Amino acid sequence: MTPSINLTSYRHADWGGSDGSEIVAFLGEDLTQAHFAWSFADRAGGNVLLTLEATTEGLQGLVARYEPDYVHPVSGAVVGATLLIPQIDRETLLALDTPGETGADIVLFHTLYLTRDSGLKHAEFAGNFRIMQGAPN
Amino acid sequence: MTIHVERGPRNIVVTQGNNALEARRQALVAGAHELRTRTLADQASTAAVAALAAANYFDTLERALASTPEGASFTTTDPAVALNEGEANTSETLRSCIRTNEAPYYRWLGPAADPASRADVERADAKAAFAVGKTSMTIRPDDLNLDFTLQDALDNADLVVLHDPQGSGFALDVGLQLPVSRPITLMSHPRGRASIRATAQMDALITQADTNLIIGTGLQGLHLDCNDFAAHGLVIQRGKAWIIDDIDVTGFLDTGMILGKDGASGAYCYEHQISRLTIDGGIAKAQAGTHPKRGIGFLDGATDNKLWAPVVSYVSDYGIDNSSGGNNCIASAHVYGPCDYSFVAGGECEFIGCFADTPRIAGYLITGERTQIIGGKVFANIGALGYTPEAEAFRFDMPHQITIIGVRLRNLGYDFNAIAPSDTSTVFGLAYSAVTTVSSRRNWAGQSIRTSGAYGAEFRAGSPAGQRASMILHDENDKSLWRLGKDNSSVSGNNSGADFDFDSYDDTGAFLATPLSMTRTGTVQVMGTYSAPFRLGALRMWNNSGVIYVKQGSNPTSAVDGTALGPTT
Repeated sequence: MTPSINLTSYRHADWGGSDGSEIVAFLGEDLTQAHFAWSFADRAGGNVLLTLEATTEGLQGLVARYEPDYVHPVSGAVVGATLLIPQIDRETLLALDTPGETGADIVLFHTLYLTRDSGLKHAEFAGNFRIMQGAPN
Repeated sequence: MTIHVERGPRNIVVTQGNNALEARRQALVAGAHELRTRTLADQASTAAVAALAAANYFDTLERALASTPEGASFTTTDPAVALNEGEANTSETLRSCIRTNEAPYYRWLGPAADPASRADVERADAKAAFAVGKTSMTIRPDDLNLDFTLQDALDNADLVVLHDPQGSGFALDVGLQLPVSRPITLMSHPRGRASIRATAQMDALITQADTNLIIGTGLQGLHLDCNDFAAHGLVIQRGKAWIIDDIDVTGFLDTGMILGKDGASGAYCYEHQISRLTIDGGIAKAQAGTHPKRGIGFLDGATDNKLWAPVVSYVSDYGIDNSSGGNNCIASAHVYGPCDYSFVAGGECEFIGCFADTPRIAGYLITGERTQIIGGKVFANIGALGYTPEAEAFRFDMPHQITIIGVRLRNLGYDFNAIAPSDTSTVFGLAYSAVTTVSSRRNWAGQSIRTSGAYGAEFRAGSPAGQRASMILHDENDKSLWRLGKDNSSVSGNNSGADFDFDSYDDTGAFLATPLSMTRTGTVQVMGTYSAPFRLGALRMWNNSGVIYVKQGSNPTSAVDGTALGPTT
C-alpha cells in the first residue's frame, strides 16, 4: 500500500537541502546503492514538471546517506537508516506557472520511486506538493 | 518534517512530524494500527477485523493483492474472491480477506468478518476524503448521517458523485449552494439517477448574484425533487459556460429552472450549454388548477445560452419564458399541458424546431426584438384536456424585426388567429413565410393579422424593377387559381409601369388570362371580349373591333350577338 503524504513548500525559498528539515528516513536499510527518483507533476497522471534524482550535496536533487547510528523513533533502538535529503531551489519554484488567482497556491502531485538492485521499482509514497506563495522576497 | 519509512515483515510504518516527539507519537498510532490489523486478522474472529478491512477497499482482487502487504486485511466485492467451499463471490458481496504469502495470496476471513454493507466502506472513504485532499467523492444518502453534509462535499471536492442504489434520495433542509470559488461537477453515479429532495422551503440548487463568476461547473443526471417545498429547483444567477445535462425537476412551487435574475443586478449567466431538461409541474396539480407558474425562466442577465431538447409539462403561465434574457437559443423544446403561453420570446432569441403543445392563449408570446422562430409547430388538441383552447399561434406585444419561417399550425381554436398583436402593439419588419395550417376548423381564410386601437395593418411584398410582387391563391394541392399584385413592368417615369394585374389560371394551374388590370394613374382595363364580357348586373358588354355591343339577360354566343352601340364606322 502506497501511503499518501502531502508536503508543503514556500515559493520564494529553497525546499529541503542538507540544512533544511525535509528528510526521509528509511529505517534499518542501507539504500545508498539504490536509485531514487522523485517526480513532481501538475496533477496525478499529468505532465511531469520536475524530477529529483541523485546529485551532490548542496545542489538541486536527492542525496542519499546511510547513518548507522540512527535511532528508531518508536523503540529508541539504534537501527541505522538511510536518510534521503531532497532539495528544490527557489529559482525552480519561481519558474513554475502561477495560477491565475493572485496569491493562490501551486499544487503539484508528487511520487517518490525507489528502484533497488533487483530492478524492482516501488512507489514509496505520493501525495500533494503544495507551494505556498508566501510574502515575496 | 521528517518522514520515517520502516519495512518490517510485510508492513510499512510511515510517520510524519516536525520533530522526533511528534514522529514518535504518529509512529505509535500507526504501529498500533498495523499490529492490531495483523493480530486480529489472523484470528479472523471479530468485527474489528471487518472495520479494519473496510478501510482498505479495492474494486478488484488483483488491485488488492498488488497493494496490500502480507498480513494486512482488505475488502473487495470482486466476484473472483473464492469462498470456503470454493465457489466464487457471484453475489458481489463485500468480502474481508487477509493477504498471505502463498498462492492464491489471500484468504477469505469468513462471513463474520465481512462488513455489513458496501456503505461502511464508502462512509470510511468519505470521512477520510477531505483530510487527505481528495478531489472526488462518491456519497450515499447514509453518508449524510456523518459529521459532514452534502454542502460540505460540494465545498471541498471537485467531483461529487451521488450514489443512491436504494433510491431513498438525498434530503435537503436548506438550499444547496453551488461553489463560487471554483468549478465543480455534481453528478449521479452511472448506475442510477440520484434524487435531491427538499424537505423545507428553499430554492433547491442555486448560485446567487454578486458572487464570483465561475466558469465550467457541470451538473449531470440529477433529479431535483422540490417536494412541494422548494419554490424553484435549479437557480443559476451567476456563472459562465456551465454544462448542464439530463436534469429533471419536479414538485416545484414556482419555476423549475431559472437562469439570471429579475432586475439583473449582479446576475451574469451566460454561455451555458443545457441539454435534456425535464421540468414537470405535475399533471395531478394541473387538473386541480394549482400547478406552478413557469417551467424555465431566462431572466435578466441570462444571455447567449443554448438550451437543447427541454421538455416542460403542466405549468400554468409560461412554459419557457425568455421575456428578459437576450440572444438565447432554444431548440427542440416541447412544452405541453394547458399553460397560457408555451413560449415567451424576448430580445434576439431563437426558437428552432420547438413544439408549443396545447397552449391556452398563444403558442408564442413575442415581446422583444429580432426574434426568430424557425420550424416546429403550434398544436392545440381541442377538448383533450377538458377545455376549449382559444389559442393563437403568435401573439405580438410590441415586437419588431421578427422572422417566422416554416411553422406548422394544427388544431388551433375555432376563431384563432395566426398572428395577434396586443391592443397597443405595432408590428413591423415581420418576415412570415411557409407557415402551414392543418386540421383547424378554419384554415388560412379564417385567419388574419389584425390590429386594434389607432394602429393599421399592412401586408407588404416588395420586388425589384421588372419582377412581380404578388399574392397567389391556390387550391389545397398548391395549384394556382388566381394571382393579384404588381406586374413585371418596370417603373418608367410619369407614373407608368409597375401596374396592377389580376390574373387567372386554368384547371391545370397554367396561366389563363388577365381579367382585370389597372395603371397607377387610374386606367382600369377588363378583358371585354364576347366570351368574357364586362357585366353590369344582368347586362353584358364587350368590344368587337372598336364597336361596343351590349346584351341583356344571357351571355352572347358570338361577337355580334347583341346591340351595337357604336362608334359606327
